[in-house]
Amino acid sequence: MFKAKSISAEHKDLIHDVAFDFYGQRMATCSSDQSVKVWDLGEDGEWHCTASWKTHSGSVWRVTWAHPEFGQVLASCSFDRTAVVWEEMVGDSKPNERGKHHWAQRAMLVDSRTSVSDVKFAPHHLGLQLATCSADGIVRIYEAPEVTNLATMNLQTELQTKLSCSCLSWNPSRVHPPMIAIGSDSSDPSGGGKVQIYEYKENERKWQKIDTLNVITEAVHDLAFSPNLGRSYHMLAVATKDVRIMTLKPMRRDQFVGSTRIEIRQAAQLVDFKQSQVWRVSWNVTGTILAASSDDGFVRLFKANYLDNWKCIQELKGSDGGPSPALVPSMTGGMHSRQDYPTHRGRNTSSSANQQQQQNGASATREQSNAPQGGRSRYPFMTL
Amino acid sequence: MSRGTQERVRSNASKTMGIKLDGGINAISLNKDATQVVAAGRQVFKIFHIEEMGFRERIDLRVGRMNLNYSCNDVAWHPSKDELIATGATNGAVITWDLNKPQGNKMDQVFSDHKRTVHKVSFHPKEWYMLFSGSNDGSMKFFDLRSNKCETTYGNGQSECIRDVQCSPHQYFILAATLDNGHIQFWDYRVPDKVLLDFPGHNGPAFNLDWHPEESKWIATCGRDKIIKIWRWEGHGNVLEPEYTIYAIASVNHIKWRPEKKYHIASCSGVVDHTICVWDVRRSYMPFAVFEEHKDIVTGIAWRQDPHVFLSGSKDSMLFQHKFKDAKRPAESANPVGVSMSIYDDVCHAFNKSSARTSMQSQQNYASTNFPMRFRRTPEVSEQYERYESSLLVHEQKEVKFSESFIKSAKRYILTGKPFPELCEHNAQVAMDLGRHQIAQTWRMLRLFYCTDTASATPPVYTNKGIPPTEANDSDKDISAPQFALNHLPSHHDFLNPTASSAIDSTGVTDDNESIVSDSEHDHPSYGAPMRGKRRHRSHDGAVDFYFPLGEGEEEEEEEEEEEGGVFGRYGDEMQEWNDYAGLPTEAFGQRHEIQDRPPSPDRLQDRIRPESPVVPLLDLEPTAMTMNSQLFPSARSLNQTPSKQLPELQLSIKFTPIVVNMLSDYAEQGDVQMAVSAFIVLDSKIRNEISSEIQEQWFMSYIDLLSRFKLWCVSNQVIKLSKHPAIEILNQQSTTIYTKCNRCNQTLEKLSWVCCQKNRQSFTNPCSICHLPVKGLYAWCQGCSHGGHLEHIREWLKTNQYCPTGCGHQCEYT
Repeated sequence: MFKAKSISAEHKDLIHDVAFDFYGQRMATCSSDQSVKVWDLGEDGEWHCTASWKTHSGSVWRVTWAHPEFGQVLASCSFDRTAVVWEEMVGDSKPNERGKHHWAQRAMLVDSRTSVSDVKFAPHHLGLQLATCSADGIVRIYEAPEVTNLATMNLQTELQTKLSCSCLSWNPSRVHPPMIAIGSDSSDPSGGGKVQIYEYKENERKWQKIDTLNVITEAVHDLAFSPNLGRSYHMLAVATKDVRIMTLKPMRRDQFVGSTRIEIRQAAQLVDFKQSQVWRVSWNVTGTILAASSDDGFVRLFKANYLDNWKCIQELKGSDGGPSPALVPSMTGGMHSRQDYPTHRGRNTSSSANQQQQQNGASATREQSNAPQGGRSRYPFMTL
Repeated sequence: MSRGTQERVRSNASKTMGIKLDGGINAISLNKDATQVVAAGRQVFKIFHIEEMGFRERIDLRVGRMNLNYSCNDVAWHPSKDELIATGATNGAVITWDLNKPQGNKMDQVFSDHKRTVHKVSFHPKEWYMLFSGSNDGSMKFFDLRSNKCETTYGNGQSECIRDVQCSPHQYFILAATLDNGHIQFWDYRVPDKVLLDFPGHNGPAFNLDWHPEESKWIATCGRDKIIKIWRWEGHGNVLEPEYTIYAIASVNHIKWRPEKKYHIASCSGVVDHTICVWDVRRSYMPFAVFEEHKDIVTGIAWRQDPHVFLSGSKDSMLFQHKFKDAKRPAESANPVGVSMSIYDDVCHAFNKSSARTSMQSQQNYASTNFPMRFRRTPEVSEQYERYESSLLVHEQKEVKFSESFIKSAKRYILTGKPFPELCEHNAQVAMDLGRHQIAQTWRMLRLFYCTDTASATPPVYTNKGIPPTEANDSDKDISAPQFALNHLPSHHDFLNPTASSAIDSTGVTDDNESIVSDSEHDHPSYGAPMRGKRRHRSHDGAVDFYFPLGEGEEEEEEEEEEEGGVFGRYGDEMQEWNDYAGLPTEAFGQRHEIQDRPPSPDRLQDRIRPESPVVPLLDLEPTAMTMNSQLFPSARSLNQTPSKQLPELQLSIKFTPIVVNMLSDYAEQGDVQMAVSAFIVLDSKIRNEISSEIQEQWFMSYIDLLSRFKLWCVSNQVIKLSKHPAIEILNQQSTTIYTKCNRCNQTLEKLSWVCCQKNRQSFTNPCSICHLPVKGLYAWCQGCSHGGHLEHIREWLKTNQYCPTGCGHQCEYT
């Protein structure tokens, strides 16, 4: 169950992006009013705005945090064709402004000729890298040669996607080669697939397009790789009119045939959005719950049950005050978790039961604790 | 009205079209019924008919001998006389052109009164003979076309260049001008020596102004400060405040109100930005429509008396007619919502206030339009303006928190230091307490598979009070990993009798192990060493010596130990040893930390991953492990002595191993890397060789990442230590040195942190800055000025002071 807490954001125009930091205790918002605000979770459990400053001379589309090992670093991108890296300065706050933090401008990336629609830091094991994409279809990857000097970000690569780009996402996996997915909001369905996958080829030292998701021909507004957490495959959530969840399974080296190295499958198409567009998707920390927000003011949470069927488990209504109605009582997986033991089933279809318990239905948990302990006699293992 | 309708029909038939001219355009102007356009520039001066399918050239005015008079900076078609055009030239000449001249050169009058470039020429909207000009020389002039003379000069004394001058369409005598210093001036054209109002409107040059065609009081100005301001001027002499402000992305060179749309204004930029934006003045930051046809900066905008069609000229030599329906609407591609999930499963949600309010009742409206965000084009709707504002909500996950069970599991799981069945049982109980039944069952099954102890193979009867509350956990967590404290939990035997024997039992075990502990202590450095490192300086003269020398020659010993001792024994010893130190340390300097430089070298990998089949290591490791167990726990001794009894059990576990591997992989696939890694660590050698090194690394790295997100550093360190994976183990051996320096002479302290060896030979340094005594225990040290002292003293001091207690002037910050 969720408790909604309203924050008076005081942005003067629409907020386009919100981002939690690595530890979930800071939050950044950006808006068309050209400013970025940083919110800190206080000891009292409330969010306090600790910084608000004008970042760009245009709408700020996205804001994103770097991994904390690089310091408290934000990047923002804007309609004014720039992306900027910001760093929080500690210690030099004026005495009368205690509690207000100063964010200093570091690198300013001015290569784009059109609106920069997304900016994302690479997973931290790749060092301090930053990817931007712009409305003219160019993806740029920058790297700071020294992580201590954020003012210098060198342009490493420019990728021509030939489609107006709206979003990008880094694959967070550290055991696989660096990978980026790029989405386009071009609404022309004849342009083919709107999501392109690029991978860094270590031996050629360059990025290469390895696939285009041809099943997605509508405008893509957002996409997000799920946290990897030891999975053998990657999950990519794509926000269009609906939400698609794609799995990308890297083939083993010995099966490497031709140019297709990843096997892409559409795991789910989530269509609970009525007539509205989905604009943003966000994964939880384990990649088991997907939040999707659409322009009807709802956030819907999705989760896979033990059969890998993704279902809406909750609808959060974005209204000021008022309880959020729990729409679907999230019991889809709860019943099964008692009956079926994971290894009995195939690899992909099994054992979401434990997670149902962990994260999802409170009611599921309650129900199970009432279940008789004698259930252990039903171990499928015993029959082996 | 009827004409308006005709216009609409005609404009619907027309389309976006362009024509390339011979050179960059500086200005354009339309004739009175908007059917012809004149485009003027340094190299071009032409008139075109605007037709449905394109532009048709009517006349080229650049004929005869060329001079600078033809180099036009501005052009104005007379608002009522179709044959009269005025231009301002770069050489300062103001020229009128008479299109009714029969042949050749149409040039009519040349006024050479301005000394510098003329920026602007404009006709009076009502009186045909009045022509005004503004120039770089800082003056405005009024030319009477009846007498063909410059009648009046305004602002002669001022030095600032005039950028724009325009007569009000509503107030007969009023004239507005913008200046290079950002000032805006209002004049009565009959009173040339007195300005009505002169006030600074912009930072930097104010380039352009435009009177509102319908709202008689409104005037818009723009400038290099990237701002368009809408002023309401009532005719008084007070400084104005802008009614509306628009923030463009670049310096704004031209603005033009959109006809019939009260709040709309078009703008174009002088640098960088080649687009034409149409703004709703009520929305300051987001253009309503954007036209991107031009490839260079746009210099002129002219509406065709129709809100849906306008023309523009640009430095890229193109003359375009734009249709409104071909515009880009940035508001449509700008997302109105934001969502993010934190690691605590809180959902932060930002959304358009108005969309949320109307979403329910207008559901059916949405069905008909794809874009609920967009402005409707019908004037009725655009009059009802809705504020664009977002609400920000944080939905806090209140009931089922993944993070909670994750953190509790991470803290309470015991991964090492006890016999395998006990570990499994304990972890199962932890999972049980957290309501994670499946995990609990998995742990119990693991115990069944791999445990040779028949006593524990029969499931014990559980009571809900099986686990005593873990206060130790909470109170200890700041100095040690809670796992250590949990050693006091009862072993699995105690579950049958939960109240009685736990304390006795655990102390008993410790005693039993005393000899082993002391032996092993010399063989391999202790597990608890980092902790003792901290304790040590508490007891010893404030020494903060974190310099851990690298162990030499220990590697072999450790290898040996691994071969013969098995894993339980080894870590079991260390755990017990740690327990011994849980009180006061017995010596000031503990064993050296087990630090090896572990490059992931191939030979070391080979040591670990045996080439043989997985059966072999199991067979040769198990018995030793069991022997160890039986020494540690007399209760198990009798059961495990003979190999004959072990064999079937072992075979059973071998048979199950692939399934267990599968199961762990499955947990990982489902995102529960915690279970995968914890079980892997507990199973350790039973399964290590079954899972490829890359996957191990992936699991460990993911789990460690996750732990660090929840700031579980101690657990994370323990996992690193137990990983026994070369790529992981090096993680906790990076940057382990803390460098200190003397706060008197600024020399780095090399050997000891409290003795400065440099200048004053062997003198005591770095006492507490407040009480000037040596610090025992925690030393709070400012990294900026290297002063500091007792944690409590410094904390107290910095509560009330900002500066360093020594008076060194450094602004220390206590965090």
